[in-house]
Amino acid sequence: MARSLRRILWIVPTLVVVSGLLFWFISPRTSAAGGEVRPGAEPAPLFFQPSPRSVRERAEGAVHRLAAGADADGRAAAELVRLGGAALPHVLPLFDTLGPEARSRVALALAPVGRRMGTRSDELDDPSGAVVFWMRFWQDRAIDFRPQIVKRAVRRLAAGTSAGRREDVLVLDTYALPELIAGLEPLASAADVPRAARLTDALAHVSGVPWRVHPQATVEQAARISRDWQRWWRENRTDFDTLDGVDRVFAMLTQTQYGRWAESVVYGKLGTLQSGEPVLVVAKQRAPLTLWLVTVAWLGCLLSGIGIGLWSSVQAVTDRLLATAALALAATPLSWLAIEAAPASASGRALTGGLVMALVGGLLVARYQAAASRRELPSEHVQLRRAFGATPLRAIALSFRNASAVVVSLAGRELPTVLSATIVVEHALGLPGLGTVTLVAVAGGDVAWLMAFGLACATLGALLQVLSDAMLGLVHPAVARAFLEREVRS
Amino acid sequence: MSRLPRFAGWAAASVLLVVACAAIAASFGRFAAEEAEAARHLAPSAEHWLGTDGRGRDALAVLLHGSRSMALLVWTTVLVSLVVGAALGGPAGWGGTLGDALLARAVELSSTLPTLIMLAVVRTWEGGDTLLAFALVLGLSRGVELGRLLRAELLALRSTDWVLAARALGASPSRILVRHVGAHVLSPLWVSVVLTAVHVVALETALTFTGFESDRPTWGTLLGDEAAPRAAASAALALAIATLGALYVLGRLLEARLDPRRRRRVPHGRGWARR
Repeated sequence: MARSLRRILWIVPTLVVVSGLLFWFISPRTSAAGGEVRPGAEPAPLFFQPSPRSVRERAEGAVHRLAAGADADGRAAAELVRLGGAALPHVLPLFDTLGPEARSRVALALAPVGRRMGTRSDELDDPSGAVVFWMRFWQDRAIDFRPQIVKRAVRRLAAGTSAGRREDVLVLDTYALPELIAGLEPLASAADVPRAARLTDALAHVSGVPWRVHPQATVEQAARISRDWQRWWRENRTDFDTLDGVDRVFAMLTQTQYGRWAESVVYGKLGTLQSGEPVLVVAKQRAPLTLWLVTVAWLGCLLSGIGIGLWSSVQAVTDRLLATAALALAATPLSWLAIEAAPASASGRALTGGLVMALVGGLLVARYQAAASRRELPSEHVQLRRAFGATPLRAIALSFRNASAVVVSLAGRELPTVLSATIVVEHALGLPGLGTVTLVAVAGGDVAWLMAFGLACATLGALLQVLSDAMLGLVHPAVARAFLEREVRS
Repeated sequence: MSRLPRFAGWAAASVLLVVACAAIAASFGRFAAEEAEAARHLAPSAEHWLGTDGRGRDALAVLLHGSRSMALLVWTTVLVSLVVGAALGGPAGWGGTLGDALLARAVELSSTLPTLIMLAVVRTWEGGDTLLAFALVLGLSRGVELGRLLRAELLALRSTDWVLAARALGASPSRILVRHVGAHVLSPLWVSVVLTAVHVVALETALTFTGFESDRPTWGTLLGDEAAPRAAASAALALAIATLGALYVLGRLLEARLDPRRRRRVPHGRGWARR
């Protein structure tokens, strides 16, 4: 029991390693495996980001490209606009280090940010005027770009509506995002909805993401939009925040394709398929059929395999027939059998598919069972009972416990084989299970689906493994003794 | 023991047949692919004895060339699986908890994705459609299964009286493993080796059928080609000869030779049941 519990606890760290290896295995030709990559942005590394990028690095990179005149496609300017107010503490102090032309280019690129902040000055579009505007802005407002000031401004906006309070927050632009997001919580009663409406309005304005809570919305509607904002912030936080100390180390792991995927799994998201459908929704729709097929095939092949194997272990003719049939079936494509035997109805096709898999698998399992039984039948205790008049059937029953170790061991390992067969049968019979989606995912390099499918298989496989081990200890006294010896030694 | 020569004859004939096919393939000139649309799925004729496949290739040529790649694939996979199985299963069944834990992790790892999907993923990699890649992935997967099987056998055998007796007489663990236990685990291992060979072709066929066809000529390509039934039937027959003859018979021969309990007494057949 303790051994089984320990094995179950081992599943979690194993799944972490397994998911990493699986990610490596299925990702080599996919650039954006861990999540969306903005057009023009470099894809994240697979597992380790030696130089994680925060708003400082992004802003400085954009300024250098603009200053060097290397922004023909406008990406650097667009990046500065997206980063907005959060980038200003890193961009505006650089003005003193830039030449006049470079300074003008950067100042002009910031014009949309200025307008978003509520500035109506024509200076923003004039090369020399824009430089003067931003230098004056930083002289006047640098003191406002501090966490305490932002917190107070957002708290005032949350407390009540007034044009001045809103302007105080909007002028900080994206620099206020962390406090605006934090201010959305708690959202427990109708009294919290107006606050959420004011804050989401400011959030939508500075980020350009149109998720606003209507002042008359219900608590549930407001809570849903709040959750959307929290998720958006998790995915985009490092674009608007600086990274220092532990945050930087953490970002080395999270600013990777695997890190993004793992983060989304921790928050209960398995991503979306390339077709746009959520992985969980598709899995819920298709899993029942596949699970049914797997169960029929798995139980069918074990039960029939044990029965046929035991019988053929004492019947030479049956054994030869079994061997021939098993190999003949193995030489016949599973899809042929399934297609030829399938009726027209969907349920009939599913049943046929399950039975075909059980038949083929059963004959193969029977080979193992027959080999093990043939080895156990001559043992002394069975021969002794035979000498005292036990029937052949009784002798088989006596040898079964020891001879079942191989099949019980196989039962824990059969799942991937059965799943492979299920995928082929689903494809052959046009059954809408998980297999058909998985084949499309492999062909299209859909990492989100393959990771989810792989993790589900690994979890199920590991649990079956523990169950199979526990069964092995129960049915085979020598195995139980070996386990016990090992426990004592360790 | 009187049945051994018959087994040996069958095994030798089957092995020779497969080897001959592989040898003929090297000098078989008609493999030059006729990729033209018109040459696809042609009926058997004097020029193409088994017709042509879905790519317009002579089915007989594909069959012969396939025997060569299949033989290579099967033996490489079997070799990899045996090495991996012994390396994982031996310490897990005979050693301490570390070996057991290693095998458990390997099993969990190999059950992450069905082998079919792993092979399909590898085949979609650039340069992934090679014999070695296929043999390595499948060999590793089957090797873990073999290791698990070996572990179960060793766990059952390590507490038997004769092992305890050997230990009491001062035999070292490695001597007990090689001299006494080794022979007892060969029987299930050979069953697994035969099934590994069958798996190779079954998976190759399944991959072809599910749309991940190889550029190499394989029996799987013919087996999965429903539009060329005669070529497919020939491939099935070739597979049956190879597995039934070369592997199954050879496996049974070695099983009968090597398993000490079966050497001692074979309580098999009606005679035993009537006793």
